[in-house]
Amino acid sequence: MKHVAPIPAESQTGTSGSGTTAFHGAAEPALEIRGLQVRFPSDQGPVSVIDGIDLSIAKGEILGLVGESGCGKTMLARSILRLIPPPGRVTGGKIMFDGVDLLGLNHERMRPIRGDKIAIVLQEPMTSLNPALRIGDQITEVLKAHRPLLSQAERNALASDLLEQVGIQMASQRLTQYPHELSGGIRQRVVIAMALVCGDVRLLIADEPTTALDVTIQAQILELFTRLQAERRMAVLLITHDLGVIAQTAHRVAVMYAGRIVEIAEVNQLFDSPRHPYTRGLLLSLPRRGVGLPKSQLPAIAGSVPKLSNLPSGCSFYDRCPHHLEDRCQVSVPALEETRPGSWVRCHRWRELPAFELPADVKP
Amino acid sequence: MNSFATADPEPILEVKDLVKHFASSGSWSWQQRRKTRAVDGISFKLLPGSTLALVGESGCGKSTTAKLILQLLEPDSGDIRLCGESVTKPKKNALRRLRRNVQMVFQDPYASLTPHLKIGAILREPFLVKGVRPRYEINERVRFVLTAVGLDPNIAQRFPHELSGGQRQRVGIARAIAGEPRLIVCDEPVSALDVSIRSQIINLLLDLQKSCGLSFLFISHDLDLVAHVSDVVAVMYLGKIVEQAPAATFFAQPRHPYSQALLASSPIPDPRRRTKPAIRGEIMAGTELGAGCRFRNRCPLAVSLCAAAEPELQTITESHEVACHRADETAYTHEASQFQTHANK
Amino acid sequence: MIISMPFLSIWFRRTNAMLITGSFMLLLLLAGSIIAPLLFALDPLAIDATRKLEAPSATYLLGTDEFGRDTFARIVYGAHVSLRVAFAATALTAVVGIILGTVSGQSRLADAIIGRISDSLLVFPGFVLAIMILAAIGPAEINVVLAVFLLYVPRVIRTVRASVIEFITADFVQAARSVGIGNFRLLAVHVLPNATGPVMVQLSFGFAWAILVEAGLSFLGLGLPPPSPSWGNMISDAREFIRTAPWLMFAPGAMISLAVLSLNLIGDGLRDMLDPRLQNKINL
Ligand SMILES: Nc1ncnc2c1ncn2[C@@H]1O[C@H](COP(=O)(O)OP(=O)(O)OP(=O)(O)O)[C@@H](O)[C@H]1O
Ligand code: SF4
Ligand code: SF4
Ligand SMILES: [Mg+2]
Repeated sequence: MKHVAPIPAESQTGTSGSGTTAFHGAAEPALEIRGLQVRFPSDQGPVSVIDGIDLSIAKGEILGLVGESGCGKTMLARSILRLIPPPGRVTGGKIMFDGVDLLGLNHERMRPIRGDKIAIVLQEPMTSLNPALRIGDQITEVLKAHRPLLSQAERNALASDLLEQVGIQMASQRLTQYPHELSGGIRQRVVIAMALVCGDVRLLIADEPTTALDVTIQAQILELFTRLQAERRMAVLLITHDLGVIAQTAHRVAVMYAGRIVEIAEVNQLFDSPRHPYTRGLLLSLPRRGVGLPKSQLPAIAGSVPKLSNLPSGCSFYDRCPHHLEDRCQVSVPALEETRPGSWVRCHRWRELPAFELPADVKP
Repeated sequence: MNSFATADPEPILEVKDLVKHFASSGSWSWQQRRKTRAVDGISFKLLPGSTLALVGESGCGKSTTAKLILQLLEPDSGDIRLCGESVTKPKKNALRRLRRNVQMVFQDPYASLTPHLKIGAILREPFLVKGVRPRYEINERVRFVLTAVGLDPNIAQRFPHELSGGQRQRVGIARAIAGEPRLIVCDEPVSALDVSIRSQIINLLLDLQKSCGLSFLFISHDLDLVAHVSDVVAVMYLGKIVEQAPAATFFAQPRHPYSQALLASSPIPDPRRRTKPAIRGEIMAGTELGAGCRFRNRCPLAVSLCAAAEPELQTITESHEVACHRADETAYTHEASQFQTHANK
Repeated sequence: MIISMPFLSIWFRRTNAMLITGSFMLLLLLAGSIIAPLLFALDPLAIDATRKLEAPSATYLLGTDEFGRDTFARIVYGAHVSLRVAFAATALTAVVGIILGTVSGQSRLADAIIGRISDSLLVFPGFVLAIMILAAIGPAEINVVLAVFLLYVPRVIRTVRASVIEFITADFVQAARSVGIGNFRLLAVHVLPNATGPVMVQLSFGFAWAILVEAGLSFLGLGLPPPSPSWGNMISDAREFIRTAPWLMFAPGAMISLAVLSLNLIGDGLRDMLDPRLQNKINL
């Protein structure tokens, strides 16, 4: 596998400010999100499913976004493409891409950006494909919309070329098949091919792209992602709940909890010395081959994910956090603070927490 | 007591040459009717108090095996013995009694609880079936099982949609243990749960196993989890078991090329140990199976023999079985590859 | 996590407008037809030969017809007849439809037989078939009930069958089965309640339709024999006097529209209430 070196630390040092207005990013951002807020109405009044997110993705970087289902990962992805389902609404913030604020664009001006410059790959490949159309027709359909000047022959050639690029063998034959005739892995490759139809996609958003796939296929698709990303110097936002996938693919990682980012760090940094008690809890609770005794109790995070409509005051992780302090953590929402160049954490007590340690390996 | 008896304690579950084929859906013409060989002659034993993990690609027949054991499906052939008694040709009364010995925990906690029934009503059912009366006695037992899975007994008054995923899965586990079974089939019991909840549920299952002496048939695709919970691992590929070994042996020395590929490609949550795709391609379509090894189209070691004859499961070391013509060449050669990881160079 | 609940309740509130209006209208209709005879001395058959075709007045709220019968009294008792016929037909449809639908959903053979028969019933335009049936078995209240039942039951069977097939393989049903629950309880407790919503929708439309069919048949002289005060009969009789005494036509016509409208509102309201539960889950 082509392992892309992590981005050098200096390129990640943002123009740091203080508190929540800080800019956590790279020198050359492909996408910059500032103070994003998304709300849904509910019985108890508006609920913030995304509550003040600042995030940037550098050109040529894979940013992993982890968090449990319901913490707002998908809404974040959707707000970049301006696809928040009603009655939800973006109620604040900016999403800068190519020098413009995407949130300020009308539909006419948004359309060419979607698919052309920003593409998305979703979890279930079947839902992204039209079951009634042959693969080839689906791809040329997209080409027609984005490259109207090409002839049909050129489009067909381009389509089979694309399939080859995503590692599909006998591409010209595949073009005449229907989605249901393909296996899950090949379908996902087709979806990726369609996402990349336009040649100059700058940002690829992949929302749980391999969750529906088997591990042997997942490994192939992840390899494909890293290869394409490196070849095209795309920025990739890789959303997943699987820490294994993140560790294997991302350069930088943002951890979300209940609508907020609680930690951002370069990937080795995050897995070696996580700062936030939630990140630590997650890493500790994972069963690992060769670590800890088989059949022993796993160090679990207590409690369950809070409802967004009923978050604890102050730190949202308060109820479940083993380090919580009543007089501090419940009083105010901690700010995202820079702990070292490129690493940020949202916890009042990050300075006081003991060093992080995984249990020692057990050699069988 | 039966012909399989050995020095071992009597197995809770014994599966012999189990077969279940499905007619492929979607094709109307008779000539085109093909069979999906979901389960194609598998055998294994499960000892009291132990856990057998069934791993493999999706569609390889894991859930079908589970449903066959629970008698939610009828096998085409083969035998399933629970506590020494066959359940495949049952008399009705005997079946009821036997059936109580095995329960199931489902993958999707959102789909496995009847949405319009209160938790109390759902949990009363196993006791009703068992013939527990009167009602206050049943309610008492419902409170008991709820407490046993770490829930507040007042949850009995609530509807499933009022509970979180983790709470629902606990209810699912409560329902499974309510009938006091000796074996629980867990079909991906945590893969639909929030990541931060999974370890709680795993801990609960491990706890119950210890305190009640339960056996588990544990279906999962998460190899790290399997390594943590299981005593024996069986790898399925396209309806067959291709490797079976005690967990420690399996993870240290997997011998089937497919098992090795699985281990090599499952992502490790450590960026310093890189995994990589170990095999190319996808599973063979049912029509191409032919006579040979089902893995031959993806196998890096395939030779002409592999297309000609299907390898049988053979014992290579004590209690380690592999179905591969080249099994004696597949042993890992140096210790560093123990976890099939590739440290960053 | 699916945070559907808060949004769901908003939906409930919105769509309940239809449901509430419809139910309110229907209740008013029912209550009126029950209370009115208690408050006023009403006799739909009493003839007052001196006061034929009178316009609405304080004594005769809706005027009188060509025999001098009180239109208001006839409307009130007509409500009894129409609602009784519709109710009987709907109840019969519900019971038979649920039973046959459940059987269809479970056995292939039964499904083939029941499916053929209901399909052949559905081939004809409903009203034409009703006319054929009544022409064959003769006009009578019970025959109208039978005709409406025959016409509507295939839809209910289909709805129930679809739900049974959908839910019989659901995880929660498999889970209940693996606990050891018998087939009958499984269907009654775990499977069929899931069909309640769609079946209620069907039945409320069926009820409205029954009122219309009864009126239509009576209008053609195939429904209830005169002098029964059914709304259909009243419209039929009023045809001659449409110019001279339009209230005779207007009153039963308005009642039919009102009853049908209320039930359609209920049906639509129910349907909208049930739909978003399936589709409007916002998966975050
Ligand atoms: N009722 C059925 N009718 C027809 N085919 C079926 C039926 N149930 C399962 N199959 C097929 O049998 C094969 C094995 O299915 P099974 O559900 O046992 O796989 P699995 O190993 O549990 O997969 P997963 O990991 O996706 O849960 C698949 O090809 C599946 O499509
Ligand atoms: S702020 Fe307090 S409660 Fe929140 S994570 Fe830090 S220590 Fe825990
Ligand atoms: S039998 Fe042949 S094809 Fe099958 S696993 Fe062994 S070496 Fe590979
Ligand atoms: Mg399965």
